[in-house]
Amino acid sequence: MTTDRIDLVQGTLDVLVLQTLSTMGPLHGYGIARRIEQTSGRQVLLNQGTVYAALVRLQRDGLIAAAWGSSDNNRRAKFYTLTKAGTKHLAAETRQWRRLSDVMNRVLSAPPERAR
Amino acid sequence: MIRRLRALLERSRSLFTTQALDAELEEELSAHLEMATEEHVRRGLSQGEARRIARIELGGIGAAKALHREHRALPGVETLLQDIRYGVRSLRRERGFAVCAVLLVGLGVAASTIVFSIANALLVRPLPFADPETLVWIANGTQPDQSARTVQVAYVENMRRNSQFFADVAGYSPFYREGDYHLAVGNQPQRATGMPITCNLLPLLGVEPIVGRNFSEDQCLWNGPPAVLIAHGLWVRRFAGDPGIVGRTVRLGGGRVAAPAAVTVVGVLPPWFDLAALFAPGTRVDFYMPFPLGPESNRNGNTLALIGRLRPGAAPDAAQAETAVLADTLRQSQQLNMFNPRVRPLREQVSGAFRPIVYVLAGSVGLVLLIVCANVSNLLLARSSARAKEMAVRAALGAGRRRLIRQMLTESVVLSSAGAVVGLALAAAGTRLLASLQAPVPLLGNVRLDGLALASALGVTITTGLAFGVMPALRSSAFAIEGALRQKGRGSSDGRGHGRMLGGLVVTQVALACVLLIGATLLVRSFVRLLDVDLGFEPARAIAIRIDPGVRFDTVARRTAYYDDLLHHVRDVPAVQAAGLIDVLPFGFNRLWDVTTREQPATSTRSTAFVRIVSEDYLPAMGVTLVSGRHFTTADREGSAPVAIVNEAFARMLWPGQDAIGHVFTSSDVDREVVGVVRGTRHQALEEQPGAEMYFSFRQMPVYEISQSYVVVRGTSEPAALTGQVREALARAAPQLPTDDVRILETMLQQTLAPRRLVASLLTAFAVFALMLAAFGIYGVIAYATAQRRKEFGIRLALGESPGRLRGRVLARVLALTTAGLMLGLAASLPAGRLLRGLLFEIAPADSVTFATIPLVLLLAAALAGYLPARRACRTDALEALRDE
Repeated sequence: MTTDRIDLVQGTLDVLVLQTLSTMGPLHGYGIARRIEQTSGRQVLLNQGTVYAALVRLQRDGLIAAAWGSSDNNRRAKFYTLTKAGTKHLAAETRQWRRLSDVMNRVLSAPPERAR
Repeated sequence: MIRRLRALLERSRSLFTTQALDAELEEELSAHLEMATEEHVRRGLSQGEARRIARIELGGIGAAKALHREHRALPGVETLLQDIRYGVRSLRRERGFAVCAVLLVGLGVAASTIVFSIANALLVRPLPFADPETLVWIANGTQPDQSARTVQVAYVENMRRNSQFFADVAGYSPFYREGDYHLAVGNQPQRATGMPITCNLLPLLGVEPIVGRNFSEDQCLWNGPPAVLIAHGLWVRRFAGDPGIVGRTVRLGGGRVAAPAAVTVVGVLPPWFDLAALFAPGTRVDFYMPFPLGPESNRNGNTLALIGRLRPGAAPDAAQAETAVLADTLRQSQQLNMFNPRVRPLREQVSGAFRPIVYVLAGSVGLVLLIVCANVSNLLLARSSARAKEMAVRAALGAGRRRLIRQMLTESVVLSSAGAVVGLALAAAGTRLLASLQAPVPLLGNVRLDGLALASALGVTITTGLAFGVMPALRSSAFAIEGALRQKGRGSSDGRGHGRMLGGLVVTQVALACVLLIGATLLVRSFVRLLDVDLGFEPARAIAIRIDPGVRFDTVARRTAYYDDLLHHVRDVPAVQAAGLIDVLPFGFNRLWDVTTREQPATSTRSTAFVRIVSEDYLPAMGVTLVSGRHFTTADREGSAPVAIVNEAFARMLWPGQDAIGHVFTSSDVDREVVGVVRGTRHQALEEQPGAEMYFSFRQMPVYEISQSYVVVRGTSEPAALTGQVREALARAAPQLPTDDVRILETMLQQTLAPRRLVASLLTAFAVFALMLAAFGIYGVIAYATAQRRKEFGIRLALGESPGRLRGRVLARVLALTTAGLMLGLAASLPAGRLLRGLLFEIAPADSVTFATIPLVLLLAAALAGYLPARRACRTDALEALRDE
């Protein structure tokens, strides 16, 4: 097990979940957790249980909706879908993250100025 | 915002569905685990290893669940619910304490909710008309006598034409009498009450018939086609709620109708519409008929009680000033009676007189609630020392002081809420009982539990819960934090502060109970005085039945023959001792006539007297005492010299210091010689001294002077049996005569006393409750204090102190506390008694008997309440008490 995985910053998990649902369509909790791990190139240190807390939080805020359905191999599972509000929220969050990462990049990659 | 609301909604929903949500999560997580395990197996791990890794990756199911719960619920509310559940559980554990406290709060909530419902119906809830706040009552002058307060028709027409302040003015005639009419639906006519109203009254009030319509214009004219609107009650009683009644005719006789005639029913009024409940509470109106406005009705003098609708923004004062000017101007061009307008809000006229009574009740119920709070506080305090250990443990486990206070307060609100459930049940029964009373209190039928009353009960519940909870909560939480663990679990007293607090509560309770008891005693003593009043007549075993026929007599001889025949038949009933005729009954309608004498010409002040037209047997049958002279005889008849019997007040008024017999006076243009003097009767109200009264023989009165008549019967049997026999006799004499208007004289008396009885009994109930609470409080505190000092008592007894002395010591403390409470209570009772002044009758607000008795009663109750625990204290076995350590 690699030890240099990233600890998730507070609040980022919600965005990852929303993004996953946006690209994959309706998905159950396990699928979401696996997908996040895969797309992040197994870079994210994910305690899968926290996904469920995020799902409850998002559902409470009306950003995602849940319904019971059956999985690929016919197992009963709860499927989550993005709501309209969720799509809007994701767009806003994405813009926010882009700006933040731009700024961070620019600041961190600025060449060192020589002291006189 | 919406997101927040939704979140709140979701979270609150999750409070009630915790278990379902947990189960759902459980299922979701197990699906997760199985999927993860499968995948690991596919990658080549063994089943067991795959499951283990899946679990590790999920990160512990318990933690996931806790995280889940935390995110879905309202943490504050969950704590609250936890506290409530805890409170309920701890109350269940201490059932005796809980039952006591719940009952106390329940009675308090019931009392306050009932009183609030009365206040609500009488003073708060708007009158059931459109825009009730612009409705005003327009009286004539300020005299209490109703006939003098009515207004002549010409003024009304003038106001309707010319007023800038009134949108409209309408009226009704208050001179209708109960049972004036004979209403025949089938064959047998029954007595019915009709109220004449001006045709614009219903539109002015914004009232529409539920079936049919208001009177048409031609029906509102003098001698127009006869029409009636019927009250909902009559519609249901006599016409079985048949909507087809509209347009049909009924036969109506008596009253202002010369002979029974067909009258068209034009509509049915809504069930809530009841003018009698507003203006003549305790009576009933069966139908309404048009009162025409015009020169013909103007000739009848003062006839109308007026209700005005103010234009938007118009003030009653301005309208009154304008009306006065309009009236003066009109009087310069026409010969009219005086009109001295007094305009005030309609609600004031209807129930303003009951405002002080409602305030007294509200004040008393406030005192009761305070006592309840003090008492429950007492119980909680006593209990709090028993719970000191529990609190200390909670504090040690990390509960902050705020958390402890919060938990204790939640518990007391749980307690008071349980009490509120009991209280509301009692209040529902109480208000239903009140609404069904046939008492002369306006709008009493409207007393009910409504949203506002429930809100008030809720307010009272929460306030009392917090009020009685706050002291014990502060106390025991402080106690816990200070480290109750240092103290020994039992046996040691928990400080002087605690004792002082309990003592203070006892003093407060005694003081409040003292005020209530004194107030109630003053009212009850007034009531008893009133029952002892010399009425001037004897109501026992006497009934009155209305017997005027539905037709008018054309000659005095025919009328005399009719009544003589009826009276003859009534007297033939074996159970009848005496029977006589009169036109007005006590506590009913009254009329005043001017009287003059030759010795005292019109220059001096006007003298008036009440007229009663009677048969020669009336005064003996009624039990009115003859002071001097003689009774009427059949020889005092049409054509013989007119004679009169007067009462002592009348004789004093016209011939002070002289014997009235033989004097002559003039009234209604007839000179009459006084042949007898009788004692006065209380006719207006029990509280009022008899006025000047004069009796005339019905044989000597012209036909138009008798509009109603009652036969008063005194019997040897009980009223119910007597009534049946007399009605049978009347039916034999006049088969078509409705005899369903029967009054039992004692019942009439009770009715006039009903408002007073209501207030006195409510206040007495409050006071008795307060006395019991105070005694209970004293008992609790003393029992607690002696239990705390058990060891000390044991030692004292062991060292040879006599049990009697020990008992005395305990009782001395009881009496000291009670005396302190009494001092405060008596001091507060003096001003409180003065507030009651208007409700008292021949009892001074500082009545010495009351002020001497009540402290004794309270002392006695306190001594009794203190004696039981004192006796127990003296039985303490020294060894046992010490061994307890």
